[in-house]
Parts: sequence; structure tokens; C-alpha cells
Amino acid sequence: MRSRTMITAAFIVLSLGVVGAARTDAQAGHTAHDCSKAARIVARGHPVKKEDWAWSMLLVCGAQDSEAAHDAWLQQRSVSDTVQLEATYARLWSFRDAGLFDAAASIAADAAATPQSRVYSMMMLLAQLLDDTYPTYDFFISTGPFDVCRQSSVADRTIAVGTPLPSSDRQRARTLAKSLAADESAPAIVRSAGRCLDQALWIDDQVQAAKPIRPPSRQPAAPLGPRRSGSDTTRAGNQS
Amino acid sequence: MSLLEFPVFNLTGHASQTYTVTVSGDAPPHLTVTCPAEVTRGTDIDCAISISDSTLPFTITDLSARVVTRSAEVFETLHLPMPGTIPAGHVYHLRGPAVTTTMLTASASVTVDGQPIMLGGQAQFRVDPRPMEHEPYIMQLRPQISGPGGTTAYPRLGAATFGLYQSRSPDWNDIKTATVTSGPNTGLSYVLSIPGIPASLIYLTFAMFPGDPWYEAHPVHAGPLNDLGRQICTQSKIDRLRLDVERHEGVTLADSSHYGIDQKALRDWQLNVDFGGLVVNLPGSPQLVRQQMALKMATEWKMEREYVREIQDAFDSIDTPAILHALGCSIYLKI
Repeated sequence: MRSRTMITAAFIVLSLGVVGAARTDAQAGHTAHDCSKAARIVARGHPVKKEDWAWSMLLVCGAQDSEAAHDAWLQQRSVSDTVQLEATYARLWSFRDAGLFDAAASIAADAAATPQSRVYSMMMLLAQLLDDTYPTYDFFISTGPFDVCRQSSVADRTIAVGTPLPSSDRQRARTLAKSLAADESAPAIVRSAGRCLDQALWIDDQVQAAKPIRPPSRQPAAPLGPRRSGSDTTRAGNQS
Repeated sequence: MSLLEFPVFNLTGHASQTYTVTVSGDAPPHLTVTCPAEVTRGTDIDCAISISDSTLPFTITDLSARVVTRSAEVFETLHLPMPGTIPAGHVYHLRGPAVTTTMLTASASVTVDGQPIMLGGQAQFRVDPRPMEHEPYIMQLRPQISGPGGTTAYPRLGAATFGLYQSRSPDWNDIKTATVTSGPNTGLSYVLSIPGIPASLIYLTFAMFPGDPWYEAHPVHAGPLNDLGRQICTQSKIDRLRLDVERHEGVTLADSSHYGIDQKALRDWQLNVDFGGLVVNLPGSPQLVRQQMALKMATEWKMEREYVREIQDAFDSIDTPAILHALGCSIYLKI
């Protein structure tokens, strides 16, 4: 019945995501054992379907799996197979964790890493920073120098938190993104991903600065009339 | 209201008009600036500048347009090219596309009896939205469904929930823009066409479908209890759960779904008004101008998304527990 146990474990996690059930002490002990086992599997960074339960345990284990998530992502450094990268990304994108962020930042900045893993790392950085964003590979690799990156937003995303991100990580990601976007020696898809990450964070900055956000009243514009005193104002500047 | 008055939003504007006035004696000439009172965005306008005494040449010394840019939120002053001296009896025309409500101001000098005289004149025209700017900017396509038979893989760790609703932004790179090269709005860029909204994606976990191990592990008949002492949901209850999740995400296009909420917010927000009315005064290559305009649209889109997110979260906080409560059983196999 081993496989049945694994199925059960995986979907206990699934259910917790929905209803947030309370855990008993006995359950906690059981979970600690599962977390340890899951961490060893996750750290290998090569998801296979029969071990999905282990990746799902990230939701329950939290910081206990922080190192495993970090190690798992570092394993992607030499991977150019986007199927594998997508599989790992899809299992980790909603695990918000400082170790995972560090691993992603490290690969993104590493010229020796595969271009594909660098792109996925920048997607991971954005997924770490914004709650409702679901960065996708096709958008991240196709943003030219004069393009604007498309973004997706999601509802029903459940974010599991491992080790919380330091507040400086947003600026760190932005700085990295700008440097990669401008790096003429970087592969085209890396530069594209740099633009995407930079633009997404810039746009989010504008949005956060505009809060509280309310639907536009659709009031007509003020008349031009005689020039009024005071300076003209700008709601949002141009991106530099 | 007289014939020459017209409403300018919540105030009253005054249209310029050309008068022919016969004066006796040595009344000084005056400068006349005329424009049509209102036009639709993107259509050509012809503003004329002349002086009352057709026997005199005049020199335009300043020509500027005060305009509303960026979705009617910012005023800017454009300094327009000056034509120099206009021969006697001639009228100077400014012809070109009108893209935003504008106050055109001209200053001119004329020499009368050897003495220079400075003259000034103004005219305002209002630019009305194009029909496309009144159309609702909503999703025209049904959401695409993942799950068995679907084409899109479920984003995994998000598999902590039974479903995931993904809204995709328009392709900002499909925006068509133009920059006005003549007339009173010279230098302004505006939007010619706006890309549509792609279909949203709905991901459903395979777990709720017959054949999946989790589904099959649930009993066919009611009876078994889990460790919490609660009756485990039967497979038919999981079928019901699946239907509720499909409705919750928007498979059925229900108003009470993430898709329905998304659509309503888009309808309320009227992004076409912002997008269609976007007028900017930016230097740089056409590519750069288009990119900056696209960034402004992407920012406005994100504003709307951020607003909707709060509504979606509130919906989840009510609907998700309601779905699970309505089952009357526990979805847990074992705790």
C-alpha cells in the first residue's frame, strides 16, 4: 500500500490548500517525517510524476524545505531542456522562499548557466515577488528591445512560505534585470527575460504607488480654458 | 446658451467664429484664429489664422497649442512650427489630424503706419472619442479549459487548489500608433488600434476526474470515515465538487466565477476609454514612442488587475468554503 500512502499524503496537501485544516500533534509528527523524506527528493531537482507527493509537501513543510528548494533550483543551472525546467518551475513557483530566490538570482546572473535556466530563473524571481503573477516562458523569451512584455495574472494561487524574502530582494531583482537587459554579450532570450522582469517590476511600482486603486470615475476632463496657475502634472512617468 | 457656447465637460466653452466687421476710421487690425468647434479623434482639422485687414501682411511670432494628453490627465503646451510672414490677403492654415482637445494660441506682429503692433488670438476645439473608444473592452473569447482533453498543463504547486484561473494580458506589441506630423496637434502620438484580450485559461486538477488515483480512492458508496471521524466523500460527491470548481473558475461563464468577476470588472473599468484616449507627447523613434505608449497601457491594465484581485480574493473567501460545506462530507481520505 506504499503507493496509496503517497497518494494520500499528496492530496492531504492539496486539501489543506483549500480549507486550511487544523493539524493535530500526531499529524505534526507524521508530517515531520514526511518533510524530511520529501526534502531529500526535492533537493535532487528532477521531478518525476511518482514523486509528486514530495514536491507537494513544500506546502506543509515550509521553512524545513527551504534548503531543498534552494538545492533543487541550483540543479537547473546546466539544464537546457525546457520540459524539465518547466516541470521544476511548475512545482516551485508558488513556494516563496529566500533560499529559492537566492538560487534563482545566482543562476540568472551566471553567464556559464544555460540561457534557458537563466530565463526560468528570472521567471522564478518575478513569481517570488508578486502574488498574482504567473510568469510564462513564451512571454519571457519573446520581448524585443522595443516590446512590452506580456504578463499573466492568476486567481486561486496558494503561496506557501518557507524562509521569508528580505525586503531588499525586489530592488536586487530589478537591478539584476536591468543589467541583463542591457548586457550585449548575453543571449537574446536572457536579455528578453531581463526586459520582462524589469518591466513587470516597474509597472508594479507604478501600481503600488497609485494605491488605493479605485475604478476610474470617468469624469470628463477639465476644460482647457485660460492657463491655470500651477504646474502640469504627470500620473506616471516614462520608463527609463 | 447662445449659439457660440458649447459645453466643455462641466463648464462652458466658447467657439471661435469668424466675423466680418466693417469699421470706420482707423481701428487697429485684429488677429483671428478659427477652428471647428469639435471633431472626432483622428480626423483632419483645419484651423485658420488671419488678420482683419487683408491689405496687410503679418508675421506669426508665436504659435502654441495647449493640449490634454495621457487620458485627459495632463496638460501640455506644444510649440508649433512658425510659418514666418504671411502675405497680405492670405490666411495661414494649420491642417492635420486632431487627436486631443486643444487650445490654439497665436501671436502675430503687423506694421501699421510704420508702427509694429502685436496681436493675439485663440481658438479651442474639442476632440470627441472614436466609436471604438465607447465599445466595451471585455473578453470576447471563452476561457480555455485545461484538465483531461485540455491542452495546457496544470501549473503544479498551484495544485494546492483544485483550480486556477489565469488572465492573460493583451499583446501590447500589437498596438498601432501614429504621430501627427502636421496641424495643431503636431508631435502628438495617439493610438490607432488596440489589441484584443486573449482567452483566459482555467486549470483544473486531474484529481477530480475519474481515473485519477485520488478520485478512485474515494468510496463508491457512503460509509467509510477518515481519521477525523468524518464521512469520506463518495466519488459522486467528488463529481459534484468538480462541477462546483468548474463553475467557480468560470467554465460555465457564471457571474459567480473568477471569469465572471473578471469580465464584469473589465466592463466597469472601460479600459477602451483610457487606451483609445491615450495621447502622448514623446520624443524618440516611432518604435520608442510605441513602446512607451504600450507601457502606459500595460500599467493601466495592471491597475485594473490589482483592483480585480481584491474582488477575486473576497469571492474565494466566501465561495470556496461554501463549496466544501455543501458537499456534506470530507474530501480527506486520511489525516
